[in-house]
Amino acid sequence: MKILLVDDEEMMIELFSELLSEEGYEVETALNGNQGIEKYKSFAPDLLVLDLMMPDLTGFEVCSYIREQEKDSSTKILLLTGMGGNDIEEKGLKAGANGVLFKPIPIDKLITKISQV
Amino acid sequence: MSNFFKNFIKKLVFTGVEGSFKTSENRGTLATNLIIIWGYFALIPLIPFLEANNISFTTYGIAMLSSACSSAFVFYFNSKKKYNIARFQTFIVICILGWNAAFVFGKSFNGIYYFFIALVYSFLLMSKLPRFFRILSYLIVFVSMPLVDYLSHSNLIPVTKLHSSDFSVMLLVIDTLFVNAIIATLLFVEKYYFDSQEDTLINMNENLEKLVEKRTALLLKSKLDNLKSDQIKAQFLANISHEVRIPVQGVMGFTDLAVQRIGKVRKKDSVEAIDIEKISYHLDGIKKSSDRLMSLLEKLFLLTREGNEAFTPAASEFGLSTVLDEIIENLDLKANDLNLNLNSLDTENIECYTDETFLRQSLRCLLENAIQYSDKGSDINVRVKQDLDIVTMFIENTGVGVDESDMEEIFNPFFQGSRTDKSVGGTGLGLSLCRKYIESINGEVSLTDNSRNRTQFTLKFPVKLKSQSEEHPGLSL
Repeated sequence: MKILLVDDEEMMIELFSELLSEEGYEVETALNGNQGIEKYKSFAPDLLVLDLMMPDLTGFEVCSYIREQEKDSSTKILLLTGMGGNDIEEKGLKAGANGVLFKPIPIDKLITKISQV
Repeated sequence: MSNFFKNFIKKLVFTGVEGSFKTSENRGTLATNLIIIWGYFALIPLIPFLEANNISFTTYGIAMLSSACSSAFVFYFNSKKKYNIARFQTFIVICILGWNAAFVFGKSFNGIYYFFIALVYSFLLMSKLPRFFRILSYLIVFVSMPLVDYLSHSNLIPVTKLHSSDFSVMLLVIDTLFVNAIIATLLFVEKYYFDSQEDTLINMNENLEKLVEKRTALLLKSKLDNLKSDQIKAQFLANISHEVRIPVQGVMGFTDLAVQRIGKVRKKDSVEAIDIEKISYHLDGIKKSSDRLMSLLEKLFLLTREGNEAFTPAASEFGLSTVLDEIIENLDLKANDLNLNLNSLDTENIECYTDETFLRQSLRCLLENAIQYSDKGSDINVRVKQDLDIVTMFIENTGVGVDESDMEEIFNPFFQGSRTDKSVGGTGLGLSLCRKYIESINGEVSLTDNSRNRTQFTLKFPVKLKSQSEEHPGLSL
């Protein structure tokens, strides 16, 4: 299964890519929203793990862009954010995400969630 | 003075109408005013009759005018809207009307008629009002009117019995003036003697009302301020929680990874060595994360500390451009991600003797700030200038800019400008720390250009930091 990680925090990329490749996933990474969209097109992942706060595009924007552009894609999208707020989950689902996760998240929980999706 | 007249006329014209029917007091006042107004003018239809009796229109006009003057007084004091006065006025006006009417009809005064009125009103006043002196002064009026009447129409006043209308008119005028004088005197006595207490009360009341208004305004303002600071707090908490969550995720994640790896090796019970490289990579992640947490804590700690004890400078010699280059190099990666160009223009290497760390920190704060708020693909320029002992640095960028109203606020801790997009993050601490740092080396930082989308911060500091003893030579002696 192919996973694309998009996060502007290098450390987060390092952590999650290591974690997921350990689990046997094929992982690609992007450091911002635009890069993420490009990689999405070339890599065609099964799962997109998106950060929300990024310098160019927010996770919401990337998410709704992909949902609008590629209507028949079967890619699942998980938002993984360091923001806290009651409306984030609602906003994320509205933008077309399949789930919203909040950092910090224990790795086993993340793995379970990913395998669920 | 003109103000006094303005108020006077306002009261003269509006008291009756404005007095509204909200309270019985006002109703009393309004009724009195109506009587005063219509009472005098009700006599106008009698003018032909006056002329038939050789009482000239002009003379009667003078009498009317003097009566009107008294009514003006009545109006003026009426504006205080006191029920007692209103009743008193009602009485006086009825007296004047009766008096004038009696003269106009050429009939002699009926002393009993006035006594009757005086008795009724005395009873009314006494039943309600305990003030002895006030009643006494009313009684003087009641007694004086029939007295004057009696004296003038009997033979007790030695007047020439002409039976002419001139005599009647003269008497009319004199009597009216006399009554008016009494009214005026009484009203003044009321106002300045007996009512002084009431006036004090009224004034106190008015002052109290003004005070309440003022306080209410203050309260509203502070409530607004609170709301604003609540918003700042909420934004700060959201930011800080983001700043905390990331490194905590790092610590948690890398620790889990390391533990897992070690666990796997143990489970297999193999002789396979633990991959030291992997583990040290995880430890490195943990270290980076905890460093980030620590630096955040330090920032918070510095800002919340009272006074400036955390900011005691330690001067050393260093080259400014070296420091600047280092900072730019450190930030270049971040800037490149955003397609920004960090440039330092026309920098000569100025030899400084001041606290390097503080200068470095404040410069870094400003540059990070510029990176965070710049338009993509734009330039961030740093220029340096030296005037005698003062080094001036300009940090310019193109971006969202700062709202006019936020220009001073941006240096307050936790504040983020209203144009800040929520997705840019940051703690809102950078600029306030920058200010603290630069001030502790006797420098200053300010937002010097805020035109269109250009933002320019200016950093000024003495090239040579004077030590405490040099600064206050008197103290070391």
